[in-house]
Amino acid sequence: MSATWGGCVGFGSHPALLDRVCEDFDGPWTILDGADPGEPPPDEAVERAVIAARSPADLRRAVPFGALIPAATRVCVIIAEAPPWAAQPLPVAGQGAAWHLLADLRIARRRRGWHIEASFSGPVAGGEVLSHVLYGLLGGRRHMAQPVIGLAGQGASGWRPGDPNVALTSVGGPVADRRDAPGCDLVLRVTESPACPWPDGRIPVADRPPLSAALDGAAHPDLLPPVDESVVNPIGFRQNARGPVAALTSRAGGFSITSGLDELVRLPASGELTDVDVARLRDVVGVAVQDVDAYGLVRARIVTGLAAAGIPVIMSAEGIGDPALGADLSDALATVDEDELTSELRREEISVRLRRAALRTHGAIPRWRNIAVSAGLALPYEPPVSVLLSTCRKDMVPFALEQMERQRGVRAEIILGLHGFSAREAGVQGAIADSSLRITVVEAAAGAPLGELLNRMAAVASGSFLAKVDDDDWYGPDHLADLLLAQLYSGAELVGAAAEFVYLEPINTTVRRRLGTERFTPLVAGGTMLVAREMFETLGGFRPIPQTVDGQLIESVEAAGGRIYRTHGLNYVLRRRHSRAHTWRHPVQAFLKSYQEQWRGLHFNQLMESASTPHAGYWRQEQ
Amino acid sequence: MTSPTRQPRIPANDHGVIEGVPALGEWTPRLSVSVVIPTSGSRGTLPLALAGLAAQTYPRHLLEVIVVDDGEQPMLRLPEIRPERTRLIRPKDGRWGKPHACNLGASTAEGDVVHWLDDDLVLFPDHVEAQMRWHHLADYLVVLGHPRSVQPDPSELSPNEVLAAAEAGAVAKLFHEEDSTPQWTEKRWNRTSDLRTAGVDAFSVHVGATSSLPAALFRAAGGMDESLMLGEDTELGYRLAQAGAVFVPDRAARAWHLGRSTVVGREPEVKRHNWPYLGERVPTFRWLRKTPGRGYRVPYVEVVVDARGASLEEVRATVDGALGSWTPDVSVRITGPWSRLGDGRRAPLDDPDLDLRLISAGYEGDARVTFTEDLPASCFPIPFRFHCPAGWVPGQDALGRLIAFADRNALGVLSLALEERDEVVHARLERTAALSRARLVADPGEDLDDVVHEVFGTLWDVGEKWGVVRSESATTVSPETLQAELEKCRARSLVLQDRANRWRRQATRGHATRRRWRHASRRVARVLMRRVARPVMRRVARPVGLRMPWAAPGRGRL
Repeated sequence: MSATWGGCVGFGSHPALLDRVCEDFDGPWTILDGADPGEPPPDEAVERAVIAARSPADLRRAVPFGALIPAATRVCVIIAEAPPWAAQPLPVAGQGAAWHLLADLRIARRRRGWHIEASFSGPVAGGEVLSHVLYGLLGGRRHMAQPVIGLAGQGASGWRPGDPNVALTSVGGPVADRRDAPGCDLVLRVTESPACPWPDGRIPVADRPPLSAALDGAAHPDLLPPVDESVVNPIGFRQNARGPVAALTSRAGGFSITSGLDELVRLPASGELTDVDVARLRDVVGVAVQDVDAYGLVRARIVTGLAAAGIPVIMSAEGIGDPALGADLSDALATVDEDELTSELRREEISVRLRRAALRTHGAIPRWRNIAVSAGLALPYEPPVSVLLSTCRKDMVPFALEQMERQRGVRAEIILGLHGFSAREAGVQGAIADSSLRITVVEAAAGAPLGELLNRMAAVASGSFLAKVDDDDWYGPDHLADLLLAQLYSGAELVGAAAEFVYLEPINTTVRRRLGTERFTPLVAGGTMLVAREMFETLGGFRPIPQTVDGQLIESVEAAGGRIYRTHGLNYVLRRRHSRAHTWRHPVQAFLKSYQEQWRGLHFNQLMESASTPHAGYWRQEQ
Repeated sequence: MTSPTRQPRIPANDHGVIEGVPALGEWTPRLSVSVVIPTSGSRGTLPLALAGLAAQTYPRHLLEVIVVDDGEQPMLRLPEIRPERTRLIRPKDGRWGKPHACNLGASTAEGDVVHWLDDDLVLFPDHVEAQMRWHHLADYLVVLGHPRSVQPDPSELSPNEVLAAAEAGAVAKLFHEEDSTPQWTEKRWNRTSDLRTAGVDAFSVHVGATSSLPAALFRAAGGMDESLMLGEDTELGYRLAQAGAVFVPDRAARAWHLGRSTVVGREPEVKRHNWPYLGERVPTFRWLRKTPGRGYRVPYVEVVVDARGASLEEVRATVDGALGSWTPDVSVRITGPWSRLGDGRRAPLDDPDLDLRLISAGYEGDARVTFTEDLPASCFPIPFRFHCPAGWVPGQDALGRLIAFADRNALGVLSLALEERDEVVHARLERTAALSRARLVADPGEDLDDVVHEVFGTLWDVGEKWGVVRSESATTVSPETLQAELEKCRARSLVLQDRANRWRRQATRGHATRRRWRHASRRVARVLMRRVARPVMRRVARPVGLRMPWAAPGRGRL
């Protein structure tokens, strides 16, 4: 039994860092991200296995290759640096055999990263420990859904980040069978063309050229390894970035993103962007990707990573036309105007458009859905959303239904709760009949508590997610889709938007308040909450009280150990009515106290895709 | 005056938003202009000025000239060379002075536009046309010409020469450009992209040597103040601004100004002369109103308090708060049904109008307080009006801070939400200039605040932030408290300064120590190398034939 085995991932562009974070092991290191999945897994157990990753993103790329880590009695996981928003790497144990043998576990913060040392009474699978540590770090068990994928060929590590349920094989196959089932549903091979034949006829194969290779045919988004949305995402987006526009430049053996003479981020030749790199770029206004001699698909990969993180990317027309980016992302990139980045609001609008396009085209889940569909596999439906819309004002029903009708990019059903009136009443019946939505009506007497009505509505809902909306607020057409996206990348049990924009009806003024967004925080607007069905049922639903049911739900989620995420507020305008029409806890002054921008009349930002009342004026708080 | 279909809405003084300013010679004039030349005749330049006017490109049937003879001796007749329609008038009853001459000229004038012209200006042929093109685009513009001063020999130039030069298009060649000096206002023009960014202060460069404005606007602003012998144009500019005017300098409206201007050379004397007058009349010249606690002819802000339905205590708190403001030039207007208060027999304590009566009795003697039944639409020429609901008190610094904020951001209306009942109770600061302009450009039935928002800005904020609070929580700071506070701050700053100095000393001492140690260590290393390492190495290396490392070429000193 040899003494120590070391595997590292993500240190390609930072070789010196590896020695710094791991003083007690000098190598040799097995480079996991460059490993060939076809190598036979080690059969001999070692005394200690050290797995060093530069960032959580790198750790997720190592997870599929867990089988290449030998069994060891001591497993050490080193994360050189974690982004500020990541949770602590407390292992979330499953039923795996390893943790039964646990003798000692130490988790220590080392500078900006973590050092986890676990000792067991016998050799355990290193890969299992690794994936369980990652569950803790990113909040819950999050790996990708069906199908089960086989990986082959060098460079396949980036294709299935965070998925421990992959089958590893060599380029020539075959895939070892599982118990009573084929080893996988689809094999992804990274191989130079022409590819060698594949022996197993039962399992379809998708071949991908290495990133740096010249393409045979036309480029296509599906040829790019996906963006790992669990780590490369808008979390931590800074609305008031004050920095300059940074530039992507080539350097020996990779790329850098520089601002003047400062090198902010160093990227490897494969163009892999990590969460730590993104965190370093949060202060720049944008990144200019102009004349970089990145060959093959590498440039597109860097751009998709930056866009998915919500960092505005400035590109030349020729670069925008790259077919590997996909049509949506190209369109979004075409709207980026460097001059507009100086305005905080414009910059955020640009950022939201970019992240939407990038995450929906290049995120790991859409990417694998695409690949699976093109390989002819049947897929489960995307999770549907049930919208809980309760109202006690029948004149608001048409308006509220109209707000939901314009939602796009989701499969939604409406549960319409009528509080104190019936669906057969004049204006209501017509509005329901005119709507193209799938509407289920739940009626309640005027005296019934709101919480009770909402619970009854939830009981008839069929979606995997429940979204609560208010009857008098305005919603942008991507409101539900953006909430789902935020749920996907944050992994939070409850997701909501910030009530940044408020229309103050009594004084005919729209204000934008400064509320930090894209972060884990328990304050979200009640009319924008999206809660996972599973969590909702764990909590037992809303409290059956007449008021503040939203706040109470948030408190219960917190108490149940769930995470709450607040995404951007550009899809939502809260209507603050006259005090005589509504009971408000906050008077108008409270909204005026902390506004950052102000518009006369009802103003919508561009993402709302609605017409504002025509008053050119706009006001920004003095700095 | 026939106005264009819709008046352009110019924000602050940014006349750049006016579209379709025609090039000279490429448009058809419609409006008539009366050039008013007040002259004392003493300098003998009037014939030259009239000769310059005689050859204007502006259509003759739309151009009349009124020479107002303001000299000690009446002028016998007009010079030979002059525009066709030139009249000579003389003030009656021994009245004199340039402002009176201007008012007289303007009242005689038949043109839609009045163009002031000094008698020592020789206009370029397209001067009047250049100014007039603006008046066809909006009827609240004050257009400023662009003269340059030269020092001619009086005998050098004759009216004939001027006319000949004008007809030959050679007025520019009458003098050398490089010998001429620009008007003092030109620096401001340059700094503010021709006053486009000058904001609410644009009026301060209003110079009447050659400028034009719609006659109606001149009347609305109340004409010239005849008590001013100098600086009358600045004061008029101030009132025009309050009436909503926008000031447009046109560099194409060129002219030669013969002789030195009065301001140049005797600047301190001119200022000494003007400042007492302007200080009384132009409240926005804050540097002329530094004395605390005294009143001025035109206050800075008019505070309006409505006494209807309010108690004596509430009104008193608000009015006293306003009068006690650190902005001293405040006037207060209390609105209420004052005519209801008769002298009929009444029970003093059970009077139904008791509070009204007490309020009116309580401010009888303060000249700064007036009682009004119906609030006039505008407080012109006072630059600001502050509506404050009774029972709410502006803090001592509130008015000053609010106005400074409104000026910094060119706000027309600043509303402060105070409390929310069925409606939002609010205070409101209004800029007279903004409301006047909004009235000039508003379409019938349009919400005036919407228009104000287009020409200046409107903003909502909270009263609390600006120190407008309920009377119960209002506090005033006495000078003694302020003095004590100041002393405390001074003492604290001394302590902090001392501490900072100590830290700085320590920090530099640390530097020095580190430097000393580094030098010492290098010295020790050198000594060790020389005394120990080299001899030892020599002894060891020589027999073996090794090269000495310190003898290697290109190595620096160790």
